[in-house]
Amino acid sequence: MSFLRSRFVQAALILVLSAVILRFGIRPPAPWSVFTLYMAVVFLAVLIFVSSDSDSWRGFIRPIRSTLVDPDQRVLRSALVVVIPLLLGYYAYTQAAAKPQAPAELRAVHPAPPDTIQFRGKQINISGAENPLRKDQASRQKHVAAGAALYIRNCVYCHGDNLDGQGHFARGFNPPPANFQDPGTIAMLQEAYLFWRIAKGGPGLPRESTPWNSVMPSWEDRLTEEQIWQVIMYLYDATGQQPRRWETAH
Amino acid sequence: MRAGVCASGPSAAERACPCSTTSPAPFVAAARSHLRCHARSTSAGTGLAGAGRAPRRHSRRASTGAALGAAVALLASIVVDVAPALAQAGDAAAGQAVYQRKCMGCHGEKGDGKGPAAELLDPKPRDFTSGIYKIRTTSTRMPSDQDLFRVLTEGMPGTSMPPWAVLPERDRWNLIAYIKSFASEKFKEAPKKLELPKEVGASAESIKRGREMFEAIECNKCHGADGRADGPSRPELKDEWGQPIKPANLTKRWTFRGGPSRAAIATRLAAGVLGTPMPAFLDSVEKPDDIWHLANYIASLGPAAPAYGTLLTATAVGEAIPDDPQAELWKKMVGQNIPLMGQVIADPRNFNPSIDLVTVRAAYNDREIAFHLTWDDPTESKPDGKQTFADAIALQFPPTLEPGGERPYVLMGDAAEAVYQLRWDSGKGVSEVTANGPTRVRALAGSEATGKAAYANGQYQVVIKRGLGAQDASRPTFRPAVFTPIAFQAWDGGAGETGTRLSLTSWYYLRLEEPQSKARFVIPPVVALLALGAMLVIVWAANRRGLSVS
Repeated sequence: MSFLRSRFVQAALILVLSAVILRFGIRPPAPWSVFTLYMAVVFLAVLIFVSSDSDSWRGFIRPIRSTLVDPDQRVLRSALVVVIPLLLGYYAYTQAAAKPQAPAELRAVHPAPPDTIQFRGKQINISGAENPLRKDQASRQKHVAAGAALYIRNCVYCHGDNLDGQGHFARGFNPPPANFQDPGTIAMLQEAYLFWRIAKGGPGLPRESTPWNSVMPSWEDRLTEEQIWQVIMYLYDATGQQPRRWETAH
Repeated sequence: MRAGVCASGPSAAERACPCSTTSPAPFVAAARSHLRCHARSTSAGTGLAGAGRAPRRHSRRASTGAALGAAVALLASIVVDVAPALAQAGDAAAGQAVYQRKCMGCHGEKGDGKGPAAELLDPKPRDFTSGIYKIRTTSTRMPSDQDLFRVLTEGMPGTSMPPWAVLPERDRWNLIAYIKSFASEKFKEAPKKLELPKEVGASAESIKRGREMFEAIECNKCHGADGRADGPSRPELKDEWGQPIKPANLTKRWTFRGGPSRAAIATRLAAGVLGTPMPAFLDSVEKPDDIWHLANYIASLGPAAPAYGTLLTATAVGEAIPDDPQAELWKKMVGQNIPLMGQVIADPRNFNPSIDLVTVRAAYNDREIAFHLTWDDPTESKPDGKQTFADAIALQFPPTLEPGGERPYVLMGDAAEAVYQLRWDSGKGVSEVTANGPTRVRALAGSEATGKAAYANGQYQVVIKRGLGAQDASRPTFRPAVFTPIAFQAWDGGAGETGTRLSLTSWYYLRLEEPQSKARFVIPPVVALLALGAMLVIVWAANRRGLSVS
């Protein structure tokens, strides 16, 4: 294992190991930009490490210098002079021949809700409204159970048994169905906001949320006001999330 | 291999392992003790302990070793997480609580498969009281606990049973204890492991032999000559409960209930699929090896997973584009797979669509554009307007491209904004239509679209062609290098699909590729030459300095 004592081999080993750990050891995989940033930090650290004293620096430089200068390294030198430009040329080819990607679709995921909506000809306040079923603590379980039955008969094909947006049709639609287990969805929304989204569906979205793409139906055509509030009760109950409250005016 | 306290049984350490409890412990702490627990359970765990101690010693070599050990332990903990679990005795009472939260909606409170969702689903949820299970690796009628655990963890592809790997392992074992209690009499007999014949690798001869056996034991009667579920017995097939049941489409292995691997296929062939018309074939084949030849043949019919496309490309061609779907041009092109889903927006809804995939090829020249569409449909429907409806497919485009990226509503537009569709209907051929929603579809006058269809062994291939330029404002113009929104809709008339009972996609993009630029042949040699020059200069400079120093 004497080659392990060479500063150059140590430096190379640290770089390779760091690359392997950063690339494969992190779940979920880190984005490419983060990977390159971390590798740059590791590279700087390795440079500081090998140049910590002049012996170390000379040990690090020796194999590089020898490859460039020594007469008995001529074969390796010639090989490197040929192989490195070829590799760079191949990389340039993969970049030049890259296929075009579909343009990115920007949309507001949680647009601002309207103050009021028309629900089957009746005006319903959204801004500041609370779930009316929550007042009646005695019937809470009844409403949650009714919501569960409604959910599994209407919502499960997209939003999934586990409420994680992984239903039967999840992979076929863009935007994908909402994942209610995610702390970025119902946990940061008021119940009345959910009422608006469920009642009006994709077609009721404002323009910045690309209403033409969403396949979320307008449930006011199929569910009553009470049924929608029951489904909302179930969503929070089953995921263990708490609805966001409306901010009170100061 | 899986060693250690976490999986081997309900020891004290195991009960303390946070990966098998439901308590909402703070994530970081849980993850840390999870890692500790798994590290303890592997031989590489000592590497991690070493990493904890080493920095206190001031030897550089020791710290390198510690880093190595930590890396190995980290990788080992990842490997351990995906290793198969050993059977555990579950607690049925604890399982009941999970069952009521997660399973009852489909399988019913009494385990009889009559939950509130059951009537929508196809295939129907399992009736646990029957004690009949499709997927088993046993030669006896009952599955082993591992079989049940695997189905619970990985789900059943092609059905409504999702993978429940999100539940803690302990909960899953408890669930299995509870599920077994619905038919405890039948589970009294100890299951015996099915012994498969020795594995035969997939070779050209093995696949050929498999194909012969496929016909000899009449797999084609149900599964069809090319395995596309279009066999003559298809309409008569019933399951144990008298419900109609569809044979598997053998070209879509990713929908196989017990998984797509050759071993899984061989096991299904040998043991059969209980409760369905699929019998056990271990004793009906000529030689036991034939099970593997058949499995190799079936695995050769299609990929284990579909590679779904994201961006559709129309290839530029210099020649005339043939209408014939079997023409060489189409065979040379690589198809792009697009998944289709059920339409559940407008009534009547289609929760269990028949067509789930269309493979698209597209080409254009200076005058016209053509789309080649391939999809599986087990019945070629001749419409009579009452009971049998037409098989059909539609390509949908916005008639004009809005600068802000706005487009019509994906389900055939709405009252304000119309869509344009290129359609093909069996018995009618190609047409151009405009639609303002699914109930307001009108044929466009003076259609110049043409096309041809071919149906064979459960598969349609259709070519639809049209001029690049638009005749009027209801029709789109196709231009190279522009991203044009495109969506697909399909109907299987034989499965009763018509009107809004259809399968559909979201909006995708179609791009007519520009004639290939020459840049990709110029830039790489320039880069390589520059790099060569730089390398030579470095070597030259180093040698000059090296000489002058010495």
